[in-house]
Amino acid sequence: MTTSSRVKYLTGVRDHLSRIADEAQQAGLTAEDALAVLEDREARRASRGGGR
Amino acid sequence: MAQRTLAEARSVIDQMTGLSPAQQREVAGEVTAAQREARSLADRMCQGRVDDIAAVRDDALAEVCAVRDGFAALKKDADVGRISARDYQKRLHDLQADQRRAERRLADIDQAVEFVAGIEADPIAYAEGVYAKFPLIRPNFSF
Repeated sequence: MTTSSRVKYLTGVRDHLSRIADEAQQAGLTAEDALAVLEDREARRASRGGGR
Repeated sequence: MAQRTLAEARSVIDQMTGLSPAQQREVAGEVTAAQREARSLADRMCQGRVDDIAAVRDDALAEVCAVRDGFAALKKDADVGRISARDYQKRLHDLQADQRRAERRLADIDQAVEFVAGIEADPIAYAEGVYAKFPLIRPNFSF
């Protein structure tokens, strides 16, 4: 591997992983939001069940 | 014979007086050889770092993809009501731990890029830094 191609290779690996890490971060944020929705849904269901 | 950094060798040469042209050629040749040796040291360090990253590249890629896909699958389970909030939270925390590990790996690769680019920009300066720390691997000079 020549000198400049090493940096090019490493940069390519980093950029590729970085793109996927960004997607993972976005998916993680969406998943965190979904937890709040899920907890809210369960709380409402429990409260409806308790009122019966 | 003396082990010196390149800067030290140049400094000694600067103080030499009355060298014949043949002697001048000889010391210049030693400096050239030492520079070649320094570049070779820097080259090995760069290649070692590239090899380290190449060895973990596939695992790192698989890891970060698994985290991304894991979050998406988890969200899907919540959307269809297939998971309790408690189980969801546990899986979310596990995935977040995996995510932190993947991000540390990415930071390591980022450092490797900076490290290799820095050495390649000035391999002699890198080698001189190594020689300054480790006298036993400094190049040998006849003077």
